[in-house]
Amino acid sequence: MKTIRHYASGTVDDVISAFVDSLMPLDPALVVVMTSTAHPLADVQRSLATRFPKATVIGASTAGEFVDGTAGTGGSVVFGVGGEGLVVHAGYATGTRNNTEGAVDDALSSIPPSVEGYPHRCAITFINALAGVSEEVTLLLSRALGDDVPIAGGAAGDDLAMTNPLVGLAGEVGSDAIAVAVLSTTTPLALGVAHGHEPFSAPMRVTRSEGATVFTLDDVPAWDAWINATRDVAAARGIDVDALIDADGKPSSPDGVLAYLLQFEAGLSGGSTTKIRAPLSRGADGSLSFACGIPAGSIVRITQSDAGAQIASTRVAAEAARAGLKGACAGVLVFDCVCRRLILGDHYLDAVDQVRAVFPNTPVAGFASYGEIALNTGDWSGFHNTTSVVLAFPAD
Amino acid sequence: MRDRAELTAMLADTLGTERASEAVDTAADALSLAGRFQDADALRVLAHIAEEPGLVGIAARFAKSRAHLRWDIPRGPADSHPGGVKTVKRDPT
Repeated sequence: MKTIRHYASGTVDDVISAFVDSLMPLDPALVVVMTSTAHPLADVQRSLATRFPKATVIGASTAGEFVDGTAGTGGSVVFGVGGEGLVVHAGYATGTRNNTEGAVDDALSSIPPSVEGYPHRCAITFINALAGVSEEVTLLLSRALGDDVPIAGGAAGDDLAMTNPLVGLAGEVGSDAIAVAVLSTTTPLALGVAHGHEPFSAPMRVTRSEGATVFTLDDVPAWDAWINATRDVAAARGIDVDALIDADGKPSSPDGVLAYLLQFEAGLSGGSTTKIRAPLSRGADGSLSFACGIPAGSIVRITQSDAGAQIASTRVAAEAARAGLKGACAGVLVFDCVCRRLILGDHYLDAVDQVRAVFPNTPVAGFASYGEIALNTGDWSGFHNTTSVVLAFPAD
Repeated sequence: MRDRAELTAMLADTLGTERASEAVDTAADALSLAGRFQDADALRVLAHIAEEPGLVGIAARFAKSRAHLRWDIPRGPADSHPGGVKTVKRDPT
């Protein structure tokens, strides 16, 4: 396989033109498009699908984009894969929120279970975490595809507006949707995942929830429980949790609540690791909404991380992918939680550089997501928050 | 032979250890299963949990499909690929 990556900004026409020029020498079989809200995903995908009719054009809107050497917001990134040893099939469906199983089945309906001569398979998927069924979609996908098909992917962003993240396939774009590409290959891809968060609060039991919305923790409204448990550690970071909501019960600033929540996420103890679940919004009733179901009876502890742990965990994910790859690497696709961008700020490229260090002289591209998907053979769960997911493409 | 701890571990990454353990205990008690049990009974426990709505039920169905593979138990129609599409042949060159 061969890959290219390109970061572009300017008008949408500028972006499309730059992407076409960069993809031209590759004759891609797969084109992953990651666009900020400045560049309509449908327009970019449709143009590339028309220009490269043999390619599967898939992707999502973002909350930040990067390639090796460049990171930012308000731009767009393309990652193309071509060469020998790769066949791609893809599907798209809407209705994940209320018909999760049906949407997954629809998305997979035209994807064959195997391709002769290409013994390895890997899925790349894009979803909308705000639909609140991210883990559900991931498990249903894996159950349908089989134990031997790793799944990587990300939940679309929308530059932290938290209103309309988009996923799409060939210009067909939607918010309550799933897009999935299944790569059948002659050599396996490799997947790594890691996060840098650690629990610090006392355990709290989810005493009332419905789907992805948690109403109470230990019978206290979820928001109140959250700020009570984080007041001191948040203050140490310059966040006054009591000032996040004004006297009318509304957020004091447009993104203050989200920036706070994405630094203090829920951790579920699940054996050897802590599974992170991100609260993505606060309801007017003091509830918290997550990216997947949080059943009543669950025990959560609030987690935190620092810049060093964020950078180190990216390295861990990259090294895991490198260890799983047989031979040289053609390119790397990264799905990276937006919380890392919020925590690292101007030092965000330091995390991307960890991937470059593990994969030197290799194209790297990715986006800041609202959730990450990584389900390897043998895993019992595949949806993550606060992680770096690193997908490495083999050169041979 | 299986036990409750093994089934809990199959669900814990998704639900957390405590909620997974609660689900397994409730199902095993409802089925009057104690101690260690045969694979078929372990699948009954997962099938019982799979009746729960939302993420708990989906996690149990996922675990059940994986159990079929790892415990070398034949899969039923409900565990097969939903598309049921024939293999596509392509020239690898």
